[in-house]
Amino acid sequence: MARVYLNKTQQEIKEAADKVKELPPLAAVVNKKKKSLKPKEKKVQVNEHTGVTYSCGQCPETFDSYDKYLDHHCPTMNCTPRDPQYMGEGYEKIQAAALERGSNQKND
Amino acid sequence: MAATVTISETNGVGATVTASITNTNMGSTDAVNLDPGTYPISAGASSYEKYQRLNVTNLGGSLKINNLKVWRTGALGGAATHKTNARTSGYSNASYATPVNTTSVVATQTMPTSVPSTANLGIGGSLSGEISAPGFSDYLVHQIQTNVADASGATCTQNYQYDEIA
Repeated sequence: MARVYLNKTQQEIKEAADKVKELPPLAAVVNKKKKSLKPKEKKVQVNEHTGVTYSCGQCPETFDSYDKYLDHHCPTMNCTPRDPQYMGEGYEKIQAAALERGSNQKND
Repeated sequence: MAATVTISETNGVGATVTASITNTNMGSTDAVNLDPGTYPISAGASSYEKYQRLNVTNLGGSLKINNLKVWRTGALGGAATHKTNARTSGYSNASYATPVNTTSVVATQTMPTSVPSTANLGIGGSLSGEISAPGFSDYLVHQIQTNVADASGATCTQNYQYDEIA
C-alpha cells in the first residue's frame, strides 16, 4: 500500500512540475503588469491657458503660468493680484456696486 | 471683503495674456495699452480686434460672479462703427484667434451704447454662466471700423460690468 501511495505521489509531483513549466517566467508577468498601467491624466481648469505667457500689465513681470502670476507681488500696485487694491483707483466703489447688483439679483 | 476683478487682454500669435490692462485704446497694431498717436487707424480702415476677458483673481469670500454686461459710452468720430461679439441673444463664445485689422468676422454686432438689460457676455459659453473660482470670462471681441470720410477719432469709455453674489 505504501508503495502505491508513493507511486501516486510521484505522479502528482510530475504533473505539478509540468504545470510549473507551462507558467511564463515571473519577470514576464511583472513586465506585462507594468505595461498595462495607464499614465495619470492632468486635469486642466476651465479657461486656464497652457503654454502661454502671462504678463501682469501693471508691472513688467511675465510668468509661464496663471498661478505664478496670481502669487507674485506687483511692485507697481504694491500688492498681489489677489488683493482688492490691484483693481486700481476706485476699487471700493466698483466692489460695492457689484455686490449691490448681486444682492438685488438674489432678491428678484 | 469682495472679489478682485480686472480686465485682461490677449495678443499675438502666441496668445500672450496681459492680466490687467490700463486702457483699451484701439489702433493699427495688435498690442495692449497701445498709443493711438503712434498707431492711428487710417480713414476707411479698421482697428485690430481686441480680445479681452474679465479676470477674477480672488472671490474674496463671495460665491460667484455673473451677469456680465459690456457697452460703450460716448460718440465715435465721423461715421465709424464699433463692432463686438457681445449680444444678449443667439450668443456663442469666441475662441481666441490672432487679432486682425480686416473686417472682423467675430465682432459682427453693434456695441451697445447704454447698459444692456440682460447679460451680453458669457462665462463658459453661456450668458447665465458663473465664475466661482479664479479664472476668466469668455472673450469680448471688439473692433472699430472707420469710414473713408472720417477726419478724426474720438475718446470714449468702454464699460465692463459684473454682479457679485456674496
